[in-house]
Amino acid sequence: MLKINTVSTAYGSIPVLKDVSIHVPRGSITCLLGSNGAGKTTMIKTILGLVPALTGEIIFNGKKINGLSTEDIVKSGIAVVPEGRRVFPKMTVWENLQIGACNIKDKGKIQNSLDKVFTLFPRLGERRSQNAGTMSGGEQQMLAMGRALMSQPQIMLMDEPSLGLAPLMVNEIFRTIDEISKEGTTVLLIEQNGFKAIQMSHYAYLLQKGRIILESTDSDPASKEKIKEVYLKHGTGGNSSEPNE
Amino acid sequence: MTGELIIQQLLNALSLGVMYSLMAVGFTLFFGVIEVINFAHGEVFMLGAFGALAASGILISAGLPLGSIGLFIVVLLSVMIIGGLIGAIMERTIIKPMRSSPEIMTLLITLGASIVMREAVMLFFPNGRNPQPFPQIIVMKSFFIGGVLIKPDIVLTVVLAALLITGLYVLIQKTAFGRYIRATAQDREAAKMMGIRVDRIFLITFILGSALGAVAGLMNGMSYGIVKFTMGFIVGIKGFAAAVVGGLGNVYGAVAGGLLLGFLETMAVVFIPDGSRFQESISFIIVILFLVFRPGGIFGERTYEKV
Ligand SMILES: Nc1ncnc2c1ncn2[C@@H]1O[C@H](COP(=O)(O)OP(=O)(O)OP(=O)(O)O)[C@@H](O)[C@H]1O
Ligand SMILES: [Mg+2]
Repeated sequence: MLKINTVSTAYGSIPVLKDVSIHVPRGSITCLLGSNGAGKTTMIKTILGLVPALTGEIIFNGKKINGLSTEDIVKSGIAVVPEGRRVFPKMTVWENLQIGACNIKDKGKIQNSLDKVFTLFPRLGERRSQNAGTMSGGEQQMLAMGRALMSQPQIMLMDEPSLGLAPLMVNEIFRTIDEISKEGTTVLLIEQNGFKAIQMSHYAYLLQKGRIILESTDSDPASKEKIKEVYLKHGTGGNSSEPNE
Repeated sequence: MTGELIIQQLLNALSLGVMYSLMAVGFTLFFGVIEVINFAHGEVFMLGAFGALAASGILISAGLPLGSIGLFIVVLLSVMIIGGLIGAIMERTIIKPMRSSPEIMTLLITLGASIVMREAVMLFFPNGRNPQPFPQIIVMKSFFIGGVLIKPDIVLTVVLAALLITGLYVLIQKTAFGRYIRATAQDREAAKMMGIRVDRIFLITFILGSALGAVAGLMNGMSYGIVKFTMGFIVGIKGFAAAVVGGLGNVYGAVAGGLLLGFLETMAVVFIPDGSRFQESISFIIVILFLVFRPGGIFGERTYEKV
């Protein structure tokens, strides 16, 4: 469904992503792991067209999307739960959710999504008139996820949804991601401490210093285990020396 | 001073205040949503007044009777369209291309644009160099309330401004489009990631603010019966001052700031002997006091509240 083919990016003259290729099959949860500064958020921004891809191409549903405006990319069915949640702090929960549906004209459809989001996150329903900025981190994370769901996306990009949350809340968030996936939305999940993320994903990629150094394959079910191992061995899979392949 | 005079002065203060408010709203929208300070906004005010002058001339020669409500409404609509058009042209030609440049460039280029607009009116408007009498677009009967003679023009100005500001409030707070404006002001990149066409929001914000500024120019023409190509400069700076007093970026603060400046200016003229000499400097004294003692503006938020 989403194919990233040998994409490179740079901020000014500093290269960040180097020939990154990732494939997110329809219906899967695919996770992208990597330590601080590996380029995970840059990957998301590149998919969204906020950072230009200097080489390679990004294919979504068979169509090349790199070069399109962010608005058109989002409209084609890609939603994002940004790093740090980025809810609109001085708007209510309800208003934030409406923003998520800004590309949907049909009022009935919007109401449907709203009902779904409130079923998935009853807490948001209870607090629909509260300003987003006054909510707890976990609640804001739910709101960011709900907001992304409001656009009825085919794929959701989630950038470290568990960041800074208490363990109970992390479980809750992961349980919801699973639920969203089971209802048919494809998920690209980005995590830093991704042990849990690997376990729940169908496919996994490991990004280090802008390069994919490991990926799981269909033909080799053990490859996911291997990523887990590398991950465990090297802590956050970070700046330690590259593993032998 | 008699009660009657006080009421009349209060009405004067109110009509001056709403004019500043309309100007300040533009400044605060531009800053809050687009993060630009538009020093050409005063000239949009001036062009609104000249646009009204030209439109009423054309309409009268086309047969609309002078002093009729119909003429007033058509002139008002024309002024809003003229203001909006100027805003759109400015946004596309000088604001948008400068978006990734340092802020100081936008400051400079809007200042340059303001000079061009002023000079253009002076050179190309018929007899533009000299003050022009402003026609009495609408004639209404004066009336008494509790023995106080009320000038209807003032009431019209205040009511019109109140309607426009209420309209803006409803637009920003209650409509989908208003939510997009607020989202863009609060987090531009996140707004983009949600699929909001931020570019279009910028354009429409500029059109809105400029249309309101042009209406302020029309009001000025109607209250003073005279327009001049230099009229935009000082009102522009006062509108900016009112926006700062209200807390730059805060729409309701801008309205309150405009009213406060209008009120204090009028009171200075009435109560300070020979006070009209100070009328122009009052606003700036207020701004300085605010910047020193209450930098967040009337409603006193530490950080600049945005829309
Ligand atoms: N706007 C920018 N300008 C310049 N360099 C940037 C910019 N954004 C990110 N970088 C650099 O690009 C590299 C990758 O950053 P990125 O945010 O993609 O990392 P990340 O994997 O998301 O890290 P984290 O886990 O900390 O969120 C870092 O070295 C960072 O300093
Ligand atoms: Mg990141």
